[in-house]
Amino acid sequence: MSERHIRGGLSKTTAALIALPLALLMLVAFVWPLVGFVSTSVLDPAPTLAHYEKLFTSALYMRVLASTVVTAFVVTVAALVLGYPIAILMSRLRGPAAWIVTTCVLVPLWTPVLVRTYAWIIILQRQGIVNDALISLGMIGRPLTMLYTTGAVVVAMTQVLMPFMILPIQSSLRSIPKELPQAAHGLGASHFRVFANVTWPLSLPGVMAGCLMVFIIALGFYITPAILGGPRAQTISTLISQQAFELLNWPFASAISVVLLVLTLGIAAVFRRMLRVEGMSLHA
Amino acid sequence: MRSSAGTRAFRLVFAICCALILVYMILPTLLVFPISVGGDSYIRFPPRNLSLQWYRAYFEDPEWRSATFFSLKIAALTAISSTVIGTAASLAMARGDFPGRRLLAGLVLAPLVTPHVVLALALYFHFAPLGLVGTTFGFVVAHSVLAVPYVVLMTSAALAGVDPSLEMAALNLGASRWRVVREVTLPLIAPGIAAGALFAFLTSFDETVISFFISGVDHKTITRKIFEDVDFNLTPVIAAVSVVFVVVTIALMVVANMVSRGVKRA
Amino acid sequence: MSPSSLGEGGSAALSLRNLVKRYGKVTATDSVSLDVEAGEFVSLLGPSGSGKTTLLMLLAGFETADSGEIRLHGRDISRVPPNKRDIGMVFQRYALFPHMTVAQNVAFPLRMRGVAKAEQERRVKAALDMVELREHLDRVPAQLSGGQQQRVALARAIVFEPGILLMDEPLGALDKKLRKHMQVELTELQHRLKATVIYVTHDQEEALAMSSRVAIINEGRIEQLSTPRDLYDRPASPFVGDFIGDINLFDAKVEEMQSGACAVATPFGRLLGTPVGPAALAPGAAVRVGVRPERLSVDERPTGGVAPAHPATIRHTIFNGNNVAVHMTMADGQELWATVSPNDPEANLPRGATVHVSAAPQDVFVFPAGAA
Repeated sequence: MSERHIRGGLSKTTAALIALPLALLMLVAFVWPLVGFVSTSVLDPAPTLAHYEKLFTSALYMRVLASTVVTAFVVTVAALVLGYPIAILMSRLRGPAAWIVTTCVLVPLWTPVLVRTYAWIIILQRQGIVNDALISLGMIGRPLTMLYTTGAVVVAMTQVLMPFMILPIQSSLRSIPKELPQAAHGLGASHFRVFANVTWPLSLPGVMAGCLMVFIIALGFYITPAILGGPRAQTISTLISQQAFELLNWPFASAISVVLLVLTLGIAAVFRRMLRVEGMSLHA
Repeated sequence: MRSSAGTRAFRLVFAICCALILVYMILPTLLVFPISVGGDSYIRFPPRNLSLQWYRAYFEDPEWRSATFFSLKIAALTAISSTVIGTAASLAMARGDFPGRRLLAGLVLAPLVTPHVVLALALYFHFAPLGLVGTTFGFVVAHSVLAVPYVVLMTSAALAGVDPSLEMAALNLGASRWRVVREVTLPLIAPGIAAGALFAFLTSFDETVISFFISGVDHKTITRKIFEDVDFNLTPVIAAVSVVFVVVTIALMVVANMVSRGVKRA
Repeated sequence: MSPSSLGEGGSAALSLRNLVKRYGKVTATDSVSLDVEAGEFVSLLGPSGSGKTTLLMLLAGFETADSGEIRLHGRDISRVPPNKRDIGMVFQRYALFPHMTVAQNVAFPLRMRGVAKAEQERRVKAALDMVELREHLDRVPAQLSGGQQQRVALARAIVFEPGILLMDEPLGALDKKLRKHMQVELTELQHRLKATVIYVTHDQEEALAMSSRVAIINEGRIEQLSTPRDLYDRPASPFVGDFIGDINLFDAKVEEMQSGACAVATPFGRLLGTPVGPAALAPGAAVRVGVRPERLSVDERPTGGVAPAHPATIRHTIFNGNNVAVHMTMADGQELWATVSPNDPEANLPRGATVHVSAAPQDVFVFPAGAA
């Protein structure tokens, strides 16, 4: 018979009892604060939809919303385009080369986002590495302004989020039986056709999981846009914190938060079967 | 496999592209190392002369020191609380049934996909009236919510790997349910618990957004301090702090990874 | 035997009464009753999905019956939790605790019972002596071979002197040679300990080789409970006949009843057989007929015996070493298998040759139709 009826290890009461602390923690420090916070968007000062009206009728705010979605999308595509070859490399290599590639993927993942963002300042600022290099090569006369642009945010965010793309793709590439591409070659298919007809379709679950993960995190990303974006490259999350802490307009911040929550949790809920949370830290 | 000239050229281009991408990925991490040993008073790359002045500045500055200790304390307490809470709940969800089991299993993963800025504001909004902003307790509660999903993921995976007949055997041999848990289940999932605890520690230690919003004037985490200095006072001392930070994080992650591999093999 | 007499008689080590377990619409255990005498080795034999594992789970207490009663040495344990049942169990893949040494594994049930340290040590050594594993005391299970792990599991199951020993396909994970060896060892040990054993297996050879009695389980019911010899010689149903050894099965109709025998009409002709079961068969009743291959006589010429003989065509023969299997087609197309000695002239007949097939009435089982 199946394990189905073998599991009954703990009594209902015991199970409920030892699950209780987690339930309390989630309730007290997650559900309740979120519900309390987002309810201000429709209850403060009196029951109202004014905050949403303000958000959806303002060209400025809608532009921030749109540009956040576009940025998240661009970052996702960039991470996929740059990450896929690395995932292939990781799934094929053996020995020290594999170790080097894996290190290059995992070490950034484990480097705190704050530190990586700091490094991007050093790379992109006026007297930064890129400008110095370009000037000494004579390619430009005056340093370029790269910091505090959407471009800087995209470049840094892509770097920060790429491991979330690479790891799921790599794991679904690994699960493709080796004989399959070989058999396709044996049947006379070219490298490109093997990729297009065998490798790529079979890696799609990983691609989907990676894209979802990167897109969801990118939508709500705060640190990198806050530090590298500056006032000209606002995102939903920097807008939320600005409204709350600089303008003290909490109900409005709450309304924007609801939009962001609906987007991220909505996507996560709809695609939850495709989302695979690998054992890694996703602090954003 | 046959390799024509075309294939070889393609391979070369592929290898070069991959190398560039890998440099792009690893460069920001590596960069802080040379910067941190620079002898100049501002950030310069490559550094002209070597010096450990920024490390000295870090270790001698009471603000950096207290921020570091505060972060370590919060991370340790978060690791303990979320490991205990998460492991107990994983056991309940994997080995028992109770009303709302599936709901809780889904809910516990929600912090992983919740934008931290929203959660941070909600917690601030919630904690401020309770006087919890800037307190150790407030931090530990907030960070536990972020860390507990990892503990649940790791311990659930470990529990799924335990042969159910081992627990049945222990019961059959006369152990009470509680002794089965203590004598068989917990020892067998110990690597998963340890990995979960390490992840929890690092989640708290590296956490930036919530710390940024709920830090008080005297209780600042190291991430909040870095954040402030990046904004107002961009000196190489941040590079020195970053190096210490990166080294600690990577060392713990390597350990966590080795431990969690041990889980899968067992 | 009625449940009330068990306590007084005290001979039944284990007694099941009308045990029922349902999972939704599926009845996994369908009113099972069984009495096992002390010192008996009883196998529960059945195909996978037959319900033998459920029965074992009910015995061990990992499942609770919907109705019915389980008595162990007279004590009703139907509602007793598994850790208080005092039943030793050897699991399919041994279920040794990987984080404990051999000695710690064997001491586990004693520790749970609060046995004093010195006494624990003495009994662990005695149990390991019993299975000839004393020198491996401080190893962990991963350092032992499959056969050695098997013995440790056995030592752990007997060390606390349980009232009964359950074994769940304990030899399934061993290779064939070692399995044969362990079969002998297990039976010898069982005799020495005078242990009462319930042994679950799907391997009929194993069940026949080791058991004093075998319960054939099918669709949640005990189809037949008998000695191995009896099961083979007098199967109670076509299922048992088919499950234990090989059998030719085909449909027929009762022609006439005689005392203790009956004549049946098969599509290829008339046969004399022995009705199985208490139900009387009326002429015209549909029946299943079973004959063991080695009980079919295959002759080149009709022998003129009492039993009716029918012509058949040889399709092919298979040499098996100690016998030759003959595959034949009867006049109506019915296929039959027979085994003959390699020295018989019939063993060397060419394909297409005509032979005459007959069987003694006591070897032709006539099962009422409807029996599985």
